[in-house]
Amino acid sequence: MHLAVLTVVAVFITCGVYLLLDRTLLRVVIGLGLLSNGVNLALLASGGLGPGAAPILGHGSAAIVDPLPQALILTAIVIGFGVTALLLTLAFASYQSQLSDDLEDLHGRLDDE
Amino acid sequence: MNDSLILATAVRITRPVLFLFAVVLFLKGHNAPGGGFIAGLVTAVAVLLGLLVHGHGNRKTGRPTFLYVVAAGLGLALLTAIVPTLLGWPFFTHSFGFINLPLLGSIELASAALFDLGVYIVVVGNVVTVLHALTERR
Amino acid sequence: MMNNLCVLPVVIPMATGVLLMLTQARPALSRAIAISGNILSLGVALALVETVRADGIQVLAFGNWPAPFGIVFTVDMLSALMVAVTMVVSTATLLFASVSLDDLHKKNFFYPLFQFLLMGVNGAFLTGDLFNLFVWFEVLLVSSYGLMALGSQAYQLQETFKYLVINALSSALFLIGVALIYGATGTLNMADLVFKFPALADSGMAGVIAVIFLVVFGIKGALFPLYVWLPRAYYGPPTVISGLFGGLLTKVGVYALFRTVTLFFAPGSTFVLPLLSFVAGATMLLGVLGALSQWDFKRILSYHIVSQIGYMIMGLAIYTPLALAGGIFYIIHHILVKTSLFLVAGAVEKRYGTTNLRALGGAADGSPLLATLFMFAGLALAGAPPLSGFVAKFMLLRSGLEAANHLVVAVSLVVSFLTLYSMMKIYRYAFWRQEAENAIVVQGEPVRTFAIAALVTLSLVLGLGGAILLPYVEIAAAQLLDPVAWGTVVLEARVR
Repeated sequence: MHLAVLTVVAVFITCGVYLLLDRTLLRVVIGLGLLSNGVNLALLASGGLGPGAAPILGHGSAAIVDPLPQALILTAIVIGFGVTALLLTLAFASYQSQLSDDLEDLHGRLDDE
Repeated sequence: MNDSLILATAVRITRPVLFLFAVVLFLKGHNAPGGGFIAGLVTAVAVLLGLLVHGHGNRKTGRPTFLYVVAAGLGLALLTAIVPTLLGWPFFTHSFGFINLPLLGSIELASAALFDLGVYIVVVGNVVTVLHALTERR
Repeated sequence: MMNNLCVLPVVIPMATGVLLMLTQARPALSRAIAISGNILSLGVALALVETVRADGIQVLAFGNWPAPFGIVFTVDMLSALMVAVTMVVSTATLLFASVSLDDLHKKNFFYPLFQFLLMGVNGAFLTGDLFNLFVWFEVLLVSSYGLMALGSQAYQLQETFKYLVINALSSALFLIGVALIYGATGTLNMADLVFKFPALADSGMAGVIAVIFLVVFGIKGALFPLYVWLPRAYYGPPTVISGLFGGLLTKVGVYALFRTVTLFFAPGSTFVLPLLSFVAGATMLLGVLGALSQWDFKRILSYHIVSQIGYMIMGLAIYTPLALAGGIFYIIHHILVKTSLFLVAGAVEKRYGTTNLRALGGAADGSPLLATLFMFAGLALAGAPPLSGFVAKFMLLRSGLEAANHLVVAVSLVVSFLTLYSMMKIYRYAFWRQEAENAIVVQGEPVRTFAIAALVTLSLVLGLGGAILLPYVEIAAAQLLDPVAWGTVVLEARVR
């Protein structure tokens, strides 16, 4: 179980980093999305991956899962959502003003040194 | 935006269901999966469907209004957290009680639900603002 | 000691920010609300410093859940001092911004974003939970993205995009570090970690986690070799915003390093402190060399941020009571002085419409007071007596010599001279020579000058009267060097 999840984490992060290194703004955004999903899965794995019930008082069950990583992931997802929205807006505005979303193409165009 | 009869009809039927689903999620959220955040997202999806069908309409009033919604939600959540400090408890302390209603029986009232309501309002306002900003034609 | 005072430096900016979202169409009202909110937070921050001095470390367990189960805010002297200095410079910056940003900027959520930024910065200083630290970092970063793109010039959009991607990357690393710590120890509460982290030392996990966090905070704090994002990013936004960022944001990363290194990474590790020592020297030297090659007021100052961060890390790396006290003194001095230098750049830019040194000239004729203030601030940055930089550098150098860390001491002395050269270069090209012809008379000059003068005066006070601040930074250093006592206080704080 752990190995499977960690493999998925590794694949997500690898793909994310590969896309991050691309010159196209949109691919960078997608890469960051993949990266943060991989990291969220890593957080999930950090709490242990056994089967178990939700840890609620009165719903007695011998095995419960650790709820904390899930709370952490929820927070991280929310933050990731906000950041991705902002990135998309920035990429879009940048594309509109420069008519290009290729970083190589943009490079040096706005340097006023 | 091109009018699509199928989409418009489907949305007209699904929107009330989505709103209702959001309410259910919100109320279940205290002791089961659900809660203000998810309910807010579902509501925002309903609003998005409306946007897809009807376009922006009167765009000038759309954006700032929803930012006021965000501010109201933030304010509500913050107030829920502040009130305990006025009573001498640490910040964010929640309290709950049960009341008996005719027909419905015993119902739990928790101050955490108010906080969750704040979260719900923030999420709705926020997502709708983002969708407006990303979809409007400049 | 359980105390609700701890959370006010976060609550007040948040409440002010929410109010400002509602009033953002009315700049005059917004300005009044923002400034009153700031002054209120400043008062609270000073009260917090006095409370910590009188009663020791303060703890607040949110929702009455004691540590390590709930999230706690822990305020020791370092946190309280950082919050206080944050509120001082932000109030000065806000005054400056209220008369120098045009209405277009103000209506684009400048005031609310500013308050949310303060909320994030203060939260990061106050929290006692590792994941919560991540959240506060995100709060301040998201606000800073908004402020950095304020005005939406093409250059800004492009640089903000890069800044955002770099920070998102470091946040992802932060989360990986959090996941590793939680997986290995089962807790994220810093006080709890003080006792549980040492158990990892044998497995090698401690080293991995330490390196991940050094990289994360190195990116946020702009340390060698991770500072490359800073100079370009800080050039884009309006100068007053660069000033706030230059003064505050990287210092949150530095603060996080001070906190985490002293709590878990340095005790029981053989490589963290020597590594930091090397990084400190390299950061100083490369930062100042970058500054020497620049011909723009703002870019020079941006590179000097990098260079100055080296000094703070030097204090951390030497790791004696005097060195840590010197490092903390340096952070406080730097926040005041760097912000005032950026504000001078902003005032000059307002008057002459540019920050390019080749196009500037003779600003000393046009505004002699501004030139005087720049001279003081520049000398303070270089470390000349009787200004605050001298006291801070003296403490650092002395502790470096006592610890026989001669190489870093030598580097820091050379860098001081180069800093002085760099400041002289700005003075010579921007303030001397024939006055540039494009001078315009602009409104709000007295308020701007007042904001700068307040910060420079504080630097002078801290220099001449270093003894005023000294007891406080010594308490802070002593608390940092005794993490077990800190952890015990936090874990044993009684809930009601």
